[in-house]
Amino acid sequence: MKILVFIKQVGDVEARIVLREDKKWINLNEVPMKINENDQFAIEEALRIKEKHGGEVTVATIGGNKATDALRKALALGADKAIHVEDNEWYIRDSYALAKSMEQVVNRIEPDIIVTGSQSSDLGWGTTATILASLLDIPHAWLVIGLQIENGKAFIDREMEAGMIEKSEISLPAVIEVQAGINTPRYASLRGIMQAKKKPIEKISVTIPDNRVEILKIFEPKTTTQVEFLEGDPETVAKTLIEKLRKEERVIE
Amino acid sequence: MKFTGVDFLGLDSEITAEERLIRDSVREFVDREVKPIIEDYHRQGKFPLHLTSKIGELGLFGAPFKEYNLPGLSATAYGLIMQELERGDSGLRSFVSVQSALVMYPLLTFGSKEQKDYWIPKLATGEAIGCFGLTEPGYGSNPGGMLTTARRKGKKWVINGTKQWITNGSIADIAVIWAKTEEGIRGFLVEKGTPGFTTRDQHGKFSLRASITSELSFIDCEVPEENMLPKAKGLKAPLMCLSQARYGIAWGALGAAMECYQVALEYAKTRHQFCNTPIAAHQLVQEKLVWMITEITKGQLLALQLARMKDKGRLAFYHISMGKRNNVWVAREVAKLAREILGANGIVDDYPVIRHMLNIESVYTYEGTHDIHTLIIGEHITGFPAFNPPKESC
Ligand SMILES: Cc1cc2nc3c(=O)[nH]c(=O)nc-3n(C[C@H](O)[C@H](O)[C@H](O)COP(=O)(O)OP(=O)(O)OC[C@H]3O[C@@H](n4cnc5c(N)ncnc54)[C@H](O)[C@@H]3O)c2cc1C
Repeated sequence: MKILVFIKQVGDVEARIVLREDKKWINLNEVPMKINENDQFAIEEALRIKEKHGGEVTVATIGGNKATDALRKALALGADKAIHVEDNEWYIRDSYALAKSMEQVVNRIEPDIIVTGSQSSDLGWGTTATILASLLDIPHAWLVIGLQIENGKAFIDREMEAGMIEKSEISLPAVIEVQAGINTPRYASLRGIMQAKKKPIEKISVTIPDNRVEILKIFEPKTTTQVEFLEGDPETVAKTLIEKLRKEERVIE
Repeated sequence: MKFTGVDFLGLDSEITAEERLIRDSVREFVDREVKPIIEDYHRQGKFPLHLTSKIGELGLFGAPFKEYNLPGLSATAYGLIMQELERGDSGLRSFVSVQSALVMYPLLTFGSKEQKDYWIPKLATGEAIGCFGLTEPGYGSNPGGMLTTARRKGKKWVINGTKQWITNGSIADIAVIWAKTEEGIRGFLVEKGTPGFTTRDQHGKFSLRASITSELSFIDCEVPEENMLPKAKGLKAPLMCLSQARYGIAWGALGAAMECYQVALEYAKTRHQFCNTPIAAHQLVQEKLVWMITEITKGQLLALQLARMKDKGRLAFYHISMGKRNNVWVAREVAKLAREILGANGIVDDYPVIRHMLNIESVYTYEGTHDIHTLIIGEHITGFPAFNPPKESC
């Protein structure tokens, strides 16, 4: 089975966020980079497919120089080869432009299945792989939390609202967009890291269409502190509080 | 707040992409598997034994060695592993240090082919755990005075004596034991369960609680002739092992220091006192933070240079002494300052600082106390050994 994984290198939001001077993007020289969280699960899922059904895992990313770090990590985890779509302006591309680049990678590899994360933690559009599926005119599934492959078909569990799960069957090739938590990603072992040195990273360039979306600015919304005193006996106060947390703040269900 | 390392001078660019990947992989392991549980194990005074097989899968046991298909890492990569593990807990780093530097190293360096064939693969995966018994109740800094003996009896060796403060002692499948024989100090492999060999754990520790420390007792303990390490002759052999472990500590201690610094820095920026200003805005607090990052950075430079010398085969034991002595001292001072900055929060285990601060006391003492390393460097630069008290003649 030919498995293709698309990954994206993103700023590590848990570390620190430093914006660029023009406020249009994070400062890539200051912010530590890592593989997008959902994509880490995608890599793991791809490796598991390979371990079960045999085949080859190719990992691909669109990015500048630093993106090789993400590919090396994926190779260390067990991917067989990597494709680096060189694009120094990857971060200003919209979903459509990215999907167009990805389409060209797909045409080169002709995979049986494409696995990627449901969304990236930086832009969070969650549309790129869906657009890719439509460009390729193949089925896709978003927010996948379970995946089985049998007789050339994919059986998937999808996370739905209100804790419900949808089971469905889709034909391959397909684009499977996984959700964090679908599996437990492995660590890159020392052996894997040493072997990754010998695995190929192919650099390719693609034609990139113009953006249709432009980011004007990124900013932190002004936070205002509002204090509200709840009146009444403890029971009423507790009830109102639960109500507010549920309905207004929506922090509990 | 996620740990992202402390790199004031951009030293990340001095290490290879592969070394960074190794460091980050261990960092991720520590974040996911160690940080969430360590305070609990520390409170209970237990070692998280379930991590052994995972550490084995990662390939961290025996990482610097090449034989038996071991990873053969650069000295820098090995150091970075130690740094990340000790950022988790000094007990965890001790566990890996003992296995790699004090058990696998002597086997690989002084062992017979049979000994290596049998033990190295098991130790590499963590299927077997090892310990290293040199210290005795009466002989710590001066192990050459040891009382433990081994004498020949037919095709066997009979061991008698007591070893104390032995990391992993009671959980070890194999103990590397140093004993006096007619031909000087020699090393022996003693398997768990050998008649005459018993262990007892040290209780009441206030430091390195998430690590097992035991007393080993040998009463007419007989081991087969072939359990002697054939190439280990004299005190130099265990000291060579200690050099390996001490090198790792020079890096490891920085891990503990870096975490204490980062926690203190974050705390200082978010804790407000007097006129609602962050305590980080006060000059006295800044001075502490600046001291911390300066000493950590100097320690990093020292560790990095030791690594380069080690890879070139130019690292001598007195160089390692400077690394162990300085960097553990830095960690000790940094932990203490971080604890101060956290105020009352500095004494509770909601934060990792007090645990690191207590742990470092062990690290300061074992593998040659701070002062013993002073004497080692002192002897090297002056030519005068100052270990023994001055003779009466003057
Ligand atoms: C948690 C822990 C784990 C350990 N694990 C192991 C292990 O796995 N294997 C093992 O073999 N050992 C182990 N040790 C033992 C450790 O190596 C010894 O504690 C250490 O060597 C110091 O010996 P000591 O405690 O007997 O102190 P002592 O040697 O009695 O020293 C006490 C004090 O006197 C000072 N001193 C001693 N001699 C001199 C001198 N000539 N000049 C000036 N000052 C001097 C020392 O610096 C120290 O401050 C461990 C210890 C601890 C605490």
